[in-house]
Amino acid sequence: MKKRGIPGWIWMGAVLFFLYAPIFVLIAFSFNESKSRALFTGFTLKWYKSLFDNTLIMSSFWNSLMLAFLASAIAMVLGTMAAVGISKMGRRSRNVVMNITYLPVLNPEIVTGISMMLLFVFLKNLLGGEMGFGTVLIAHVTFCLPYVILSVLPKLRQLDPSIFEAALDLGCPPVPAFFRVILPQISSGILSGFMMAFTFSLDDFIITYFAAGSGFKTLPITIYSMVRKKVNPQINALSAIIFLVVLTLLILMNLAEARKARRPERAEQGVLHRPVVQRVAAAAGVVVVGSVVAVVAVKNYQSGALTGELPTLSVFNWGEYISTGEDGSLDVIAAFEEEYGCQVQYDLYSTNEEMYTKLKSGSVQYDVVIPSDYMISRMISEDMLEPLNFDNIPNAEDLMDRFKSTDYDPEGRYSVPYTWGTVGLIYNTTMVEEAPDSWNALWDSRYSRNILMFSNSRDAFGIAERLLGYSQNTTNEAELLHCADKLKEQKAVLQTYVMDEIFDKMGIGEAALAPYYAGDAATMMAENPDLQFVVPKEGSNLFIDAMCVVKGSKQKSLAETFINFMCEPEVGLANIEYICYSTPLQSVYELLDEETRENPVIYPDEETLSRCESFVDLPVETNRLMQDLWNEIIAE
Amino acid sequence: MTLRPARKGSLAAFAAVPYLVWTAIFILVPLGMVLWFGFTTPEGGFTLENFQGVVKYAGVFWKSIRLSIIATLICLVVGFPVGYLMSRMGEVGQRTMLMLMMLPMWMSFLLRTYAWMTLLEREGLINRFLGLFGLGPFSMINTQGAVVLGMVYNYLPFMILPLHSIMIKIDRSIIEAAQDLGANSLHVLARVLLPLSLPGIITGVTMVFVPSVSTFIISRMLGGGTNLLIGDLIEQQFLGSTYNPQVGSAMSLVLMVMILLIMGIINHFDNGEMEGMLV
Repeated sequence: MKKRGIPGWIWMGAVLFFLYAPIFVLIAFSFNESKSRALFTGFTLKWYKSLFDNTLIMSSFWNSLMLAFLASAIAMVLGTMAAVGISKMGRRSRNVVMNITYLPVLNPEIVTGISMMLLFVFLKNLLGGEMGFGTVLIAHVTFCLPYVILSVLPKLRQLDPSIFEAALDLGCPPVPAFFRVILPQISSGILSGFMMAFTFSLDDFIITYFAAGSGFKTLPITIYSMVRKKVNPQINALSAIIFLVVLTLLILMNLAEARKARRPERAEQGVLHRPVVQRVAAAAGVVVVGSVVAVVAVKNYQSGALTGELPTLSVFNWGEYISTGEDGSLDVIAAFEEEYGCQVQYDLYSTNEEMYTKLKSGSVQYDVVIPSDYMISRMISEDMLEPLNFDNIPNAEDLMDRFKSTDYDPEGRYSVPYTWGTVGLIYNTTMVEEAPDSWNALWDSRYSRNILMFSNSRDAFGIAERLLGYSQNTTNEAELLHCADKLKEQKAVLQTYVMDEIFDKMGIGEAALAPYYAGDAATMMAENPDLQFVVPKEGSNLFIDAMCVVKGSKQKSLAETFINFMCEPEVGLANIEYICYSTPLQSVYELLDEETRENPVIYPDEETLSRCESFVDLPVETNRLMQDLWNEIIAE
Repeated sequence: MTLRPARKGSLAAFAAVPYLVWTAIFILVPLGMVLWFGFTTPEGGFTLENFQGVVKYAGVFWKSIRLSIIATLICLVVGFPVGYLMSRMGEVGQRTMLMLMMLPMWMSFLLRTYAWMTLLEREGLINRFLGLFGLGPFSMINTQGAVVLGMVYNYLPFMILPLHSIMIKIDRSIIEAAQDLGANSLHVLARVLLPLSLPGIITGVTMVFVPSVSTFIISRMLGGGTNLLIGDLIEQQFLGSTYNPQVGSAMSLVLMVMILLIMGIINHFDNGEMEGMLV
């Protein structure tokens, strides 16, 4: 066929550009002065410098390397054995086995992931223990095995069986004959199987996500928790480094191969005659590099949370909901770890429902969670929370009176309020024609494609219920159906459904209007002066988020100590100043500066509060109906 | 299963035993559990109700299939010439191109997809660039198009690599013979090149279609929550906002059967094994 010439090159160039453009964007933004992912504000190397101090990123990175190395090494051994066995099987058994081998390759990853999660949860309930490194390793070995088998088998097929027989005839026993005769000839297949397994294991997210539970974090898992709100440019820096290292390695490998190819006389001599020294050196290289990685990683791992040297407290909290030490604030988690000599494993969720599902699934175990009012009463009624021992939480005395007993936890036995606030409308003054005062603005076609909406059912229905004049705790099916229609209608003008992503989107002016929590609104308003907040005239939700201890917590008193710590005036103040929510603690309120205390967004006046009501837990059927309707809405 | 050695005395077949045990425990038993969950109530009784939950979402299933078929076709159309051109390059060129195709896979696909958000947003780089010429801004993110783009972007190498590895086996002289016999480029493509690369096409199509149809990350990041796919639904039932592993399992079963059916149809064109599956 005739050469394609210039059009061909253009085509290839375009495809390569398409593949690499996002990567160059990533790398470029690793040098960005500001954290924005849209605007390049100036050149800096600070993310590279601070990368190595970020323990979360670094430990996830080492975890990923260690995991990929172990998983592919185990898969390499098991898979090579399997390939040898399969090649010696009869036709029928071989076909059956091969079909099973293709299963995890052809099966969607998500199905493999959930199926393993079901097994691991079942085994956990049966035998005890936690999901974590062990289960992830098993899962990775399982999906790596086919790749090793499928790259070793063809090499075995190419083998001349008489060589092995010759070795046997010459008196060599089968096993040594295998190592001396067969193994050298299939080693390239084994190595490429190993490399492939390593690559897939390193980048796997989906299966790890389902198999990891809460105890073990790989780099993709950490990245996933970041892309849901705001990516730390340190991750960009890490990717740039990985990119460079892999590029260098591949170029070196390429050069070596090319040099080998230029000596055809040697290539023709066949694999058997290739210098043994070279092979041994290559094998030794792999082993040495691998061991170094494994040792460093294991050390890292041991100094990490899960070895039991220090008690570990696991906390499951909303995103952007604690003071992190950024911009000179108090790093609350680090301060707690230091003061009480423990490790805190800190994970995030973005909706009450997500937190509930994860706990229900049995794949995770947390000690402290911070759900909202209605979810707390559901969890109390489903026996998912431990009653608290208030001897360990003396600071709870500091709660303002109206937070000591609440509708969702009347006796105040299960929860200690952390924050409260209203839900209102955030709008960008430069993008709306007049200041909105009604939830109707979220249906306004003038702002089509510039409107964001809650991506959780309860908050979304709450708004529709308000707008249509129903109670936000209605259990009436007809009313809920009406609300669902209203929400479906909204899709025509909606840009997207969000939770934590809102910070990013409103911050850079991606959208004009969004409903959200007052405290977060205050945070966004501090970053983007064009933003304003209003509690619409139809009224809104008044929420309380409170700290609880999960049933079955193995660190109950440490969990209570943590809750008490969060109620210390300085700690409470640091958190409140960082997240901008309203505090239920009297002494923290008194420590606030006047400007904050008088900020109507955070501490609204009585008139506004009189328009608000709190969510209560709904009957099971109503919850199910609402969730079904919600799925229907977003699926449409 | 019985392990019947092919030749007498070939006990080596038993080397596969550890693998078979492993696979039985960690592949077959879990799939059996999905089957069990799909057909039972939370209390353990037999039911078909879970599948009613699936029927409700027929629209989502259809949308997932439609978008991933589009993405697969785009990958094929874009990837076929690349695979061909690569296969006709010199050795150094081929090696370099293979390297360039695999290199992106070493970067987290989550981050690469995230980078597309930066590019596609209303205030994103592409709109800023077009803005310089007074064009736009265009709504690109949170659309079905963005989801398809994400699929094509992430899985295009999985199309190109098997195509390349099958096409290097095509003898140049066959093509020349066709040309000598008077076939024009179109004929060569339709009568020679396509049939000969069919195994590679099938592998490529499989490796693009399966992850596309079951993704939940791409739709979430680029589809903006308004473009729910099957993967999102399944994820929701297990770790997302709706706790219901029974319905989630039923959905997974339907997804698997659907993929098997579609793969069966595709494989109808070809009886060979999955060749060129591995790079």
